[in-house]
Amino acid sequence: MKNTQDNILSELETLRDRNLFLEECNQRNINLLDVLASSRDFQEDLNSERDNFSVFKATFQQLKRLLPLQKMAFYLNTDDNSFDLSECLPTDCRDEIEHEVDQKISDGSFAWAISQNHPLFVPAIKEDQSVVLQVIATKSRVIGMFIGIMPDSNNIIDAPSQNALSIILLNTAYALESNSLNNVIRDHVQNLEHKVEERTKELQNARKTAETANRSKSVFLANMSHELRTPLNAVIGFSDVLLSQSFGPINERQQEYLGYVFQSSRHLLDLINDILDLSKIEANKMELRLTDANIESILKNSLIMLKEIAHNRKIQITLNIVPSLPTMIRVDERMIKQVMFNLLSNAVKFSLSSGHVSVNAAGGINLSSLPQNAVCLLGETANQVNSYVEITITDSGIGILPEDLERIFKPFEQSDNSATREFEGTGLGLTLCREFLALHKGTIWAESGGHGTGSTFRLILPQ
Amino acid sequence: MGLVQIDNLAEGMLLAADTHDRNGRLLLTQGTELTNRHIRMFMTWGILKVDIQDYDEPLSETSDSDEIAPELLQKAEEELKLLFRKNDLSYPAMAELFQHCLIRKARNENR
Amino acid sequence: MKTDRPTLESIVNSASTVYSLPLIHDRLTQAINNPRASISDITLIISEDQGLCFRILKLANSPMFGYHKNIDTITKAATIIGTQQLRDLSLAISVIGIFKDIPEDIITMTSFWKHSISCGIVARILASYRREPNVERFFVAGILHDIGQLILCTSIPLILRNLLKQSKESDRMLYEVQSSELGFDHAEVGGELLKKWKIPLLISEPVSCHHDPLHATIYPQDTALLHVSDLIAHALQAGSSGENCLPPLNTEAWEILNISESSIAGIVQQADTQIEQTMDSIFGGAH
Repeated sequence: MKNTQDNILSELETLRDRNLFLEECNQRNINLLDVLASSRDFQEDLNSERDNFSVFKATFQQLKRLLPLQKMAFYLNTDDNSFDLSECLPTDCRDEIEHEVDQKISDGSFAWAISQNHPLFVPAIKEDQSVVLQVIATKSRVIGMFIGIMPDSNNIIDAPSQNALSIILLNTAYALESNSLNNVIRDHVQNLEHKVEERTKELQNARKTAETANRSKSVFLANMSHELRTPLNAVIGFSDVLLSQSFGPINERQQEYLGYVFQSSRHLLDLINDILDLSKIEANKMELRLTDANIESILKNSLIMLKEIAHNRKIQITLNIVPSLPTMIRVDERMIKQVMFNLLSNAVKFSLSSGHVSVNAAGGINLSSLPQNAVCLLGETANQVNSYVEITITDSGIGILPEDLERIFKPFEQSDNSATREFEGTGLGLTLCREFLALHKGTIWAESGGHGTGSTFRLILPQ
Repeated sequence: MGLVQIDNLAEGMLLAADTHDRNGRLLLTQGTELTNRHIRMFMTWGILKVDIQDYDEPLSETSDSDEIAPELLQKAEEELKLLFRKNDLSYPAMAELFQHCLIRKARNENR
Repeated sequence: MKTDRPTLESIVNSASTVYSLPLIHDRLTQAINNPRASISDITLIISEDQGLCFRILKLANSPMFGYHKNIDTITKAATIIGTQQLRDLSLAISVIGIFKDIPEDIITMTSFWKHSISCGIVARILASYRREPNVERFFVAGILHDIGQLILCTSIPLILRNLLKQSKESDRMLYEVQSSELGFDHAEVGGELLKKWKIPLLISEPVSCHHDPLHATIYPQDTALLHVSDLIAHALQAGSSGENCLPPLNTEAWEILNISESSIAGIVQQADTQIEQTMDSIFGGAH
């Protein structure tokens, strides 16, 4: 009977102990949950803080809820792999902490704590205290070391609390890492902003210089124009007068030489005019003087001027006006006259003797009936024009090779530089044609079957 | 001078070789003149011995890996290829593992 | 002769009646979770098994830990290595002690444990590269990863021998043959036994899925780590557990780990310095 009673009593003892144990576990778990619950605040603190000091403060606060820490400190890993004391709490225990850490470095505990990733609990220098060391590291970097001093007891810190400590300090590690990365980014951004500011200033200065240069160029051109033309006109004028023999007879030799003078200076004048025109266009200084003009009369007048040369070379010229050609179109007459004259004289020049030049003028031409290269040449202006007037000039001359069809529109290019030097011209004629027509939102291009098959020049102007 | 115990290190000594911690992290480069801060840093990371340069001796050449006979290398390679046959050796991690195991195996045979 | 195909459940059930986990693991877990825990509680529990003490101290002083001073008491070991860590090491050592009298005609025990321990060491090293707080847990998982093979050895030896033969003849991985013939492989058997022993999912899931790491839903990273560790252990050619070549690497598992390939050389080197002495610490000396 007594035995059974003893058994029951001892079982009751065991049960009571177990109950006590479970209650304590429960209480500890509740405490841990409290710590975790407050971790949201902790997280927000960590995320919002931009400087390390605030991160430390938030962490200290959180850790005090977990362990009976009396003194705490953070050491940070420096560039040369040393650890320096960064912050401690309370602020006046710096010396004590350093003393403790020095001793832990000497006895190897510090190094051991770095290699383990969990908290290390070791006795402090003072007998009644113990030290906890936990490395602060992310997966990629060792950032520093946490050290805490607490009263020594026989108890060891239980596993769940140790794990909670690791988790808290991992959060701290990420916050510190994030701060340092943010600093790097901020420095880069500032640097970048500074560079952008500098570059903008540089570009502004460059633009001012370019504008000034451009203005100087235009002024220069305007001045030169006058300076160049005046003496040339004198040369042309006087040689012309002498040739006319108004001031007395001149012999054959004199006639010949004066002829050269006259021709050369005329050529030079043409060249200067063309260059100055091109420069003006380039500097966007060329102004269109639009008036209503009759294309048919312009063409006929140009042909009249070429009548003699054409007759001398026995070249037949035909002009075909299609009914669709409008009577008047708005153009800069000077320019268009120059273009027509240029093309027609080319046609006559390049046609072989007893050849044929035909001119065709029509209106109402749409974008869709234009070849691809013409559309490319028009570029954006194609969207702005409804229909075009098209003038084609076909000669029976030496023709143009496919690779030269575009080249001839470049300055100072003539098809086959050697052979055709005999044909006069500044070399800028076709270039200027294209530029003039482009100013009108039109264009010009050449077509040919190759050497010996003649060529056709097509130009289009908005109607 | 060779390997010196950490307790015997002194300022002014020169490192004879790059010094790493256990996981291979570089702590200090060859040729650095040691200061007290450096010595304390070694203690912090648990370095117990450090390779120090002799004042008279020139810097020691990094020792070449033992020469491995090509036949051994080939035999090792054949065996390893068999072992790795179900793996894609072009995948970077596998290539690295294969390479290292090959040298390891050939070296073991060398002895 | 041919009976119904054995089920996973039946195998594990019968295994758990034959092999049971020593109470020490449970008692240690309680001790370290106790808010009034003290080192002496832990020391007392471990000291009840002298063999365990001996092996723990040998391990503590081996290159696996590389501590610069001699660790001569369990109390010191608990402080230096950590209490949770000590608990996990005890688990590893005691499980190894359970499996005696396994017939050696199918699997050689020394070879088997060598492979398992190498896997444990590699897993531990990988875990420390990833800065895991408790790397001993991975050591345990590595040691236990193939115990399913031992279970199959004892419960269905004839079938297993047949499967080994099939795997050699058709040049397929043993675990693949197991899967296709039985419907489960040794990894799952091991995992289920650990579950039956109430070992945390943290360890049992990686063991269960170490050949099919993407199957792990709760601890994919730890499973990926164990998968890779097994592979590297095979590459080291340290022992064998039935396979004769490396299992194919699951590349997604490797990516999950987020380790650079350049670490592999260091991992292999470190493993090489630890395997022999760890084997000796656990198996050498007093039995």
